[in-house]
Amino acid sequence: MQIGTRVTTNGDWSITHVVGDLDMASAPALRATAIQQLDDGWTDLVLDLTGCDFIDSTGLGVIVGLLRRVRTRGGTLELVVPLAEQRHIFEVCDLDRIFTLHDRVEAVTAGVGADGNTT
Amino acid sequence: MTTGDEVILRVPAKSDYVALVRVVLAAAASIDPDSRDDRIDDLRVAVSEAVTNAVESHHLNGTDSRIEVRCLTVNHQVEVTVRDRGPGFDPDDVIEAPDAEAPDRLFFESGLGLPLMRRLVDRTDIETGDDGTLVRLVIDTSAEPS
Repeated sequence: MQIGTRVTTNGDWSITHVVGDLDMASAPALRATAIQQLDDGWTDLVLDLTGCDFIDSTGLGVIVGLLRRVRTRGGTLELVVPLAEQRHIFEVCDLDRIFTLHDRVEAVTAGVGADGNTT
Repeated sequence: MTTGDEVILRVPAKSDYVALVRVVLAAAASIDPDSRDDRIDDLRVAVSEAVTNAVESHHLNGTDSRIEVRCLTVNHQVEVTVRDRGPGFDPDDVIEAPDAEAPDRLFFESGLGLPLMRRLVDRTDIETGDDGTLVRLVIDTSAEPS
């Protein structure tokens, strides 16, 4: 199953919006998209999983690896995970102790500006 | 509902089929009108983990055999078995990810699959050998999560 990603920016934040299922078939595409943001010079990233219908350990692994890459560059990775079923998986894996799970993108980018620029 | 309903899938060991399996099995388990959405969600993830491991296992030894998934529903209990023909593994050799706050946690991008299965369903059994691995997942979809 293919995953859809759309990247927007808001101030210093590069925001990757994920649509679809995040599993072994789609995780490589998300990894590539996120790494491209780092290669383009963005260090403060948001992963918006609002449109993500499903996530398993392969998807979680990509997110953990991305956090390592971001921290290596001195940046920040924030997650937007509003759906209870996806939050549950983060909690079962104790990853809610590593990440703050935000309800909305604006909770991360507040104060930066309301209008995102699509890249 | 009818007792003893069984659904059997034989799918290629390709990542694109993992989603197909979990969609079909979640739909089959949801036929029970007393099934809880949160338990079906847990089953979806556990099945995805088991089939993902099976696909990866087939890639290890290059077999073109199909992965067989059976879903048996009896009353509110769902039993899913995932059979692969990979090289098998020693469960004791599986390195689980360290504690979330351990300094090296971020170096573990894998190792969550088996713990997730065990935590999400009521019972997880694994039989593995040189001729493959059988994972059995059992869950009461009408019961509150423990």
